[in-house]
Amino acid sequence: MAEPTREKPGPRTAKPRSPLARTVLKVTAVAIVAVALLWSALFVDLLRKRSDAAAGSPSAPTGQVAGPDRGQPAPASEPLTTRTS
Amino acid sequence: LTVPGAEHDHSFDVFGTRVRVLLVSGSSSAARLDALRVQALLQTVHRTLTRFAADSELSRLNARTGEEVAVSPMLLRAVQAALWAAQLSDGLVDPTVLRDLERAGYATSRARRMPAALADAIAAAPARRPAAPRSTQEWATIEVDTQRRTIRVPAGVRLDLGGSAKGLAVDLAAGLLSNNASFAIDAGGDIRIGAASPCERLVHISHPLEEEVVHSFAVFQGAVATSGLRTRVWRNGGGFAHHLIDPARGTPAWTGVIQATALAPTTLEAETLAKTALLRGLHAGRQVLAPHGGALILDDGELICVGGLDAVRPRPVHAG
Repeated sequence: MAEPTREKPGPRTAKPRSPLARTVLKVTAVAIVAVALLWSALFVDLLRKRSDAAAGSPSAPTGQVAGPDRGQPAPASEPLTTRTS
Repeated sequence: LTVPGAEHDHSFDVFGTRVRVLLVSGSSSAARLDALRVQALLQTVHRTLTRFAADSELSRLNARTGEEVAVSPMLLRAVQAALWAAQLSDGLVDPTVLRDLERAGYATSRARRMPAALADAIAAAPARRPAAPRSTQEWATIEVDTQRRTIRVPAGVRLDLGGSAKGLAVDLAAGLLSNNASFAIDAGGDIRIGAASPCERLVHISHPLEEEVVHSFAVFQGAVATSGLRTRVWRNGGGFAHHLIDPARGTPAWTGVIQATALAPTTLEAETLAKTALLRGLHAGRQVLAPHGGALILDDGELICVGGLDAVRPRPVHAG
């Protein structure tokens, strides 16, 4: 009696995902990225508020706080020049 | 001369010039926000009032002379400011000289154009004489209805709001900053200084020929403005022209004064007084500047301080 032949296992292939599953995956990925960005923004904001609180305190040294637009300290009461414009 | 706290320093370009906002606030975030609000306001004013853009509200008003035109609160206020300046100067600072300005060669912006050499223009200038107002006083016939918010400019007349618009804009911006510990707005030499807790600030006058500081003084609160020929002078045919028109003659004014600096409670008033003093010439110009203080520079380079400039403190005013 012939032995029943065993079927050789073929190469495993991933089942194609349904459109619904693909959409769920995409939405999940986007949500994870958004939450990560939100937490980063909140963390940076918290750091900035602490920095501002320190700069606004009465003991903050005069003329030492960086001017955000130039990234350099702006000296207190800087003279101005009037000229023909 | 110290301010108790560090200054936030914010610069940007508008009105064809560099504007700088310096302010001390409780927090750097609040200072930055206020500076950006000033920038947004000045850019809005510029977009509304420039004559160099065909789609600005001023250009649209100029295209409908003789008609009653509904206008925005900003344009209404700017025209009122220009008429106030004309009245203060007895018609010398005249918003209706646009046709003469264009005829002299100032039809498009000169913001990024190299001016002619002022010394050459002075050497070639005609006989010096004080400017005079137009006998027709067309500015006085402009109808402004504040209730209905309309303006009617006489047929054939077009407006250039120029310096008065810039002065008004700086004063409006000062209104946004009045709660800060201290602030200064420098719009290309038109300066407004104020504070919730006033302090002194050093102001330098730059010489138009030597381009170096020729005088310095302290200002407690108020405005400083300078009017002159240095940056808006150009070759025109065989001679030279500039942007300060003698209304009576319809040509650039050569009065012997090449730069006038005026102090006043507001930038609009300082701007008006400076231009009036330059147009009137040395003798009458001194009288114009005397009440608040100022300085004249003559075409031989001489500096004349008026009204005890060293000790001047323009009286405090509420911004806005």
